[in-house]
Order: sequence, then structure tokens, then C-alpha cells
Amino acid sequence: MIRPISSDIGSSRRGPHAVFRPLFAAAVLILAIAVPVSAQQKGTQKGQSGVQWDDGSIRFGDSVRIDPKVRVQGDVLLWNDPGSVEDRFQWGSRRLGVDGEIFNRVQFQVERAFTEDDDDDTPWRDVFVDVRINRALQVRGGRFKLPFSLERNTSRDQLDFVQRATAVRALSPARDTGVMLHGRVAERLVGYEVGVFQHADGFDLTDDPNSWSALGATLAGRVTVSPIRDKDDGPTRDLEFGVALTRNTVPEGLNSVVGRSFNNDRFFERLDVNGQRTRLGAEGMWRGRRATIKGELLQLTDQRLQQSITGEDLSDLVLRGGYVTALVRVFGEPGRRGQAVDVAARIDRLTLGSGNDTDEPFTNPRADHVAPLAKNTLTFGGNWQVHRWVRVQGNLIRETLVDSLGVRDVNTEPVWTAIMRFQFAL
Amino acid sequence: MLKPLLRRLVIGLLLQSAAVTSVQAQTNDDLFNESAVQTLQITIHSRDWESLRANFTSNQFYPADVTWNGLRVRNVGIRSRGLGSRSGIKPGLEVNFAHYSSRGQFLGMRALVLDNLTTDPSMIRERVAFSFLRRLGVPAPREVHANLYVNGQYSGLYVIVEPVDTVFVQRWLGENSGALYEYHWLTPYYATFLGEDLDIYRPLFEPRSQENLSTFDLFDPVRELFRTINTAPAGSFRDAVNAKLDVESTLRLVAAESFLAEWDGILGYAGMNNFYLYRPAASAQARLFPWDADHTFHALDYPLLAGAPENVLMRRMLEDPVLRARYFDLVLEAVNSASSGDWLVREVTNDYLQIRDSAIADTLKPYTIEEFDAAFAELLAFARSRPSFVTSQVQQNR
Repeated sequence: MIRPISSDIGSSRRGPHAVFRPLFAAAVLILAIAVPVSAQQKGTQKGQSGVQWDDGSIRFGDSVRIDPKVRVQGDVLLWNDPGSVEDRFQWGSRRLGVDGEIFNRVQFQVERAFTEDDDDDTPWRDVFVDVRINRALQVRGGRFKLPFSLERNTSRDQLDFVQRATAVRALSPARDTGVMLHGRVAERLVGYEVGVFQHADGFDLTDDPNSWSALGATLAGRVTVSPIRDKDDGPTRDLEFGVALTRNTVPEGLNSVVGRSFNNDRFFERLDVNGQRTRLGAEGMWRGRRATIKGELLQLTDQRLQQSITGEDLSDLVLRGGYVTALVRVFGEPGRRGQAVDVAARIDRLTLGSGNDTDEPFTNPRADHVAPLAKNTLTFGGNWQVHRWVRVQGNLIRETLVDSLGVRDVNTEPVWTAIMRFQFAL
Repeated sequence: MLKPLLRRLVIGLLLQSAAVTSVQAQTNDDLFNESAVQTLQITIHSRDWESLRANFTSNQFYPADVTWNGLRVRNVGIRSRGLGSRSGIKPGLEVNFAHYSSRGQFLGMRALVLDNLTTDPSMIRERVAFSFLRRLGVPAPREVHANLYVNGQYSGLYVIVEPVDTVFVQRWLGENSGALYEYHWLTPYYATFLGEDLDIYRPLFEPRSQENLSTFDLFDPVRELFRTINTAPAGSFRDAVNAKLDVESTLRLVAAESFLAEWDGILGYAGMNNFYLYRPAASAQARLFPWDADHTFHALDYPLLAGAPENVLMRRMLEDPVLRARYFDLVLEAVNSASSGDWLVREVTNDYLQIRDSAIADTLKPYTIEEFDAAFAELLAFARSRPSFVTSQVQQNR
């Protein structure tokens, strides 16, 4: 059986000061850049004045726009087999925040969560300032998602399914504090994001605060190519491909990533790692008039220096995964946010393994040949956009663990879950 | 030129093959060979060993390699174990060969217990007790002393204990497809009927096999056993209980424990304790297996029937004239077995002499060598005097 194990990483991490000091410094830096840039743009602004409520936005003339952000999600678990439904209702994401724009140059966002709905170590989600110097160069500073994974960088209220793909949840980094350059070049054909972050993974280093200085920064980059963008005629409206990479150092200990089932139970435990963590990602998305197909391939490798029982290096820990999603709009205008009904299906897979796949396999956290384990997930979904702010989602999920060498004590029978989500998102 | 080389190669291969054969030929009987103190080596990542010792109250497993007599078992799971004997200085250990691989085993066993001997200054009490039980035909774990080395450093004198698991059951009963339960002491319990609610029995009788059976399949037989013990009419008590419990083996176990002045066993000072219950798949007759005999040899004048009046099972068995007579016969059988050729005196003495050098070298034990010697003297006195005391108790009570 998949056993519930409470997460130990993420509950006790850096103190609030440690998080916000660099964040504050980054914000000051960005604003320092922003003010002179905005001053140069004054002549281009329209001559409106006064406070206006405009379609969900508060506008102070043409100079300032502030969008209040509210998100409330409630999940109703309909069915779970095998297993019983005990807590049928639970809150999904509950967040409050604002985003906005100043002088058409400076964007900002502040968002706070009131439910533990992500792998973040503080209730603050996106807290950043983004300055547009020109289309080719924008600078973002603060706390935000790393440029890795198409689905991770899709807001939770815009997801095609109730939950992100297993591989995305396990292999993509969460938010972090840092500075990132981004923009589009080559006549908007190519987009890029490249940033430096404190740490991409919220390691628990409370016992050894000196480890922070030893870890160094996280580097992350993503390049996307969009041969077709926003094309109204023809079978293809959007076509985009991308690759991404992150690299950071993981401290010695049980700090590998974990795989989680839909109901958040771990299906494999943390393993001992030490050294470099490298993430690689490839993504693609095709959007037609009524249909969308997208997918990603992700890989995470962790070095395991001096981690064998006798203190020698172990082979790298290797986790791979990916998904393909197909979505069809069966009712409603294509591409609009009005009333609409979409149906979607996604197949995704996450595998755990190691560089050594020939010796005798074991499940222990210092095994050179880590006994492979995979989880295949099939998700069918329907999304009903009742109103631009109200959405109802229904998902039927089939999860199966694959123990290809038969050395793990896991239940390989499929687990079915059916769930409804009600969402209000302003 | 080539011939001598070829000859050397062939001889080398033959020698290597012979060495491998001799290593492979070892069995768990060799491991539990009591004629010498065994040597066990554990190789574990230094961080893990530090963590295990620092968090000795935790049951977390750590990976390790275990070497015995040239046999190395890789990637076993070890964890701190015990109740009152838990220690961060000299941890009691469970070595689980199957924890990190469902195929894992060592000499046909899936696990071993390394008893740290921190609650017994004599360091031989349990080994002698289990040896005596086995001599009387009671299925009891095998034990042997071992010098333990962790990452090449001497870590003390331990006892390797054969766990009561499905492998143990198979060895003694020839089958293991039934349900095995480990009894957990929670409050004083004297074999009373606890009621209809099956969930009451779950914390007391933890399933150690067939864990995936339904609550009803697991605990209805346990409930019915204790219902019968408590409610069967006196006239049919013997047959009714015998249908659900192997009365002969139970009487034999209790008789042996009583002879050994077991203070914390079936008739323990605070209710039943330290036993496993096994319900064979093909029979409703449950069996009891002893565990943790650290409190045997409690006192040489410890009353033979101590704990019997409080325990419903024992009280009712003694009320049945046939079972009462059989019980006292079995006690006298124990007396004779202990006295025959001074078996108990010799066993206590031999074990003491065998381990004394290791006990002196063990600087992690929580008592002095003088206390060790004194504890041995007490056991020796017990071994010499207990048979006559018990015989007189039988004569008084029979």
C-alpha cells in the first residue's frame, strides 16, 4: 500500500528574515532601475486622470493599474478505490494578492496563501517587481517561480486538471528568491529567461546554518521558440517549443526529491544525496482552433558523492518523467475566457532509478542500484468555465505503481480517484 | 612457459571454489552454534551510525552491510530496538535482511535481533532460559553471544537472537501460513474477555504475518479464544479451550517459565507479557511462543504458582483436575531436566566462562565487571537450589 508519510522538508526552514532580506534588496534594486526608465516614458502616456474601476482593475489615470487577486478553491472527493473517503471536502488553494503595473514599465505582484497548497516554505507566494526596459530585456527581482517547466509556470487557477502532472510536481523546482533577466528577441520568435536564485529547493538546514554558504546559488535558464503566435487563421494558432535547465548544489543528507500520489502520499522515500543537482526539461505546445496538445520531458539527476555505506561515491540518482495532455474545447469561443466547456486527457509518468542499473537492486537510501519504481497516471478531466471568475473541474484519475524488478513492497493495483473542484478566481 | 601458469590458474580456481563452497555451506545452525562467541561486523555510513545513536528512540532503519564468518550481506536495514533496553551508547539493534529488498535473506532468515544486554548484568540470563525451554521441547528462539564490530571498532558484547517470525514458525511447526501475533503489554491483562469490539484486540495482538487480512479474520479468532477461556462451563472447559489453544504446549511453556521464576512472562507480575500467539491456518489450535526472557531467574524462592490465581487461563486450567495433574508433571519434568547431570549449573557456568573476556572488553555495558560476576553468582545459586525448591512447591500444591 502507499503509506501516508508527513513531509519533513518544508515544515521548518529558513526564518522569515533570511527570506525577505534578499527579497527586499532585490526589490530596491529593481525599483532603482525602474524610476529612471519610467521617467523617460512620460511623454508617451495618454492624458487620463482620476481613479477608475475598469473590468476588475483599479486604474489611477493611465499611470497605475492595480488588479486585486482572489483565489478560492474547494475540492470535493467523490470516489477513492481502493480506500475510503473520510474527509470528503477540503480547501484547495486560497490566496489573496494584487498585481499591477506602473508607468507601463514596472509590473509587480504580491500574493499570500492561506492554505498550504504548494511546496513553499512561507505563506508568501509571488512577491516580485518586474521592469520592462524593452521587449528584449526585462528584469525581475523578488520571489517567484523558477523558469523551468511549462506546467509549473502555469498558475494553479489556469491548470487543465485539478493537479499538475506527477513528474512536474516532483521534478520542477518551487519558488525562490532571485533575479532574472527575460524577454523576447528575434522578432519575438525566441523567448529567454535566465536567473540566479538563492536555492531552488527548500532544504532543511536549521541544524547547520553554515551549510547555506556552502551551497552557492541556483542557476536557471529557459529558452522557448515560438514559430507561430496568436495566429487567428489557419489550423495552428500557437506553436511553441522550449528547453530549460537548472543547476544547484544539494546538501549531504536525505535530500532527494520525493514522488507523491494524487492524495499526497509518498510512493518513494528520500534518498541520501550530496553534490550537484541538475534538472533538464523539454516542452512543446501546439494549439489549434479548438484543440491543444502539450507535453514535457523532465529529468533530474542528483550526485551522491561519498554516500555509499563505506563512504565512496554512489552512481547518480536519476529521476525522469513527462506527460502529454490533449484538450478540446467542446463549447464556447476558442481562446476566450467566457463561458466554455473543455474536455481533456493526460498521461504522465515518473520513474525513479540510478546510474547503476546492473548490480543487485535495493530500495535503501544508499543503494548504488536504486530499485526502479515508476508511477503511471492517467487523468480524464472536464472544465466548465461558468463565468470568467468561476470554474468547475471534474477529474477521474487512475494511478498505478510499476515495480519492474519486483523488489519493492508496494501495491501495484490501480488506484482510482474522482474529484470535483469549485474555483473562484478574480 | 604456459603450463606452470595454467597449473597455477587451475589450482587457484579450485582453491577459490573450495572456499566459496565452504562459505556457502554455512547454515543458520552454524550462526547459532553456541560453542563459541561469534563475531559480527556491521559496516554503516558514519553519519547514519551517529544518527542511529543520537535518535535511539526512533525506529528508523539505516542501510548497512553485515559480515559474519566471511559471509557479507549487503544493504540490510538496521534500526534501534527495545523498550527499557534502548540505548544511545550501546544500541540494541534489529537487523532486517528484507527491509530494502523483498528478496533479502541471510542463511534463510529474514531478520536477526542484536540484544544489547543492558538490562541483565549477568549477560547470559535469556540465553540460558531459552536454551532450557528448547531442551524441554518448547519452541523458543535460538541465541548466541557475539562480539559486535561497527566500522571496525569493537562495539560490545551482544546476543544474536532468532526472531519469532514466519521463518521461526516454519522451523518449529513445519508450516507458517497462519496468523502470527506479537503481544504488546499495554495495561495489566490476565486473559480476561475484553468484549465484542474487535478493535480492542488490535493493539494487544499486533499481526506479524497475514497483516492484510480483514479485521474480522484477524481478530475474531483471538476474541473467541478469550471468550472460551472465560465462559466455557467448568465441565467442558478442557475440551472447549483445547479446541482453540494447544493446551499441552501451553502448560509446558508455563511450567518451564514457572520453574525459571519468569517474573514477566505468561504469568507475569503485571499480567501477561512477552509472548507471541500463532494461529495455524489449518487448525483453530493456537500456540504460544516465549519472547524476551530477561526477567527469568527472578529469585530462587519465587513461588511456583506466582501469578496463577490472577490469570483466568491458568486459574481455570488448575481447577481442572486433569490439567492440574499434567501441569505439575510438566513442572517436575522441568526439574528433572535442569538437575539431570547438573545441566542448568553447567549451562550457567559454561556460558559465563565463555563470555567473560568479551564482557570485560565491553566498556559500553552499563555495569561493572564486579556486578557481572555477582550476577553470575546469583544465577549459579539459583541453578543449584531451584530444583529442590520447586519440587517442594509441587508437593505442597499438587
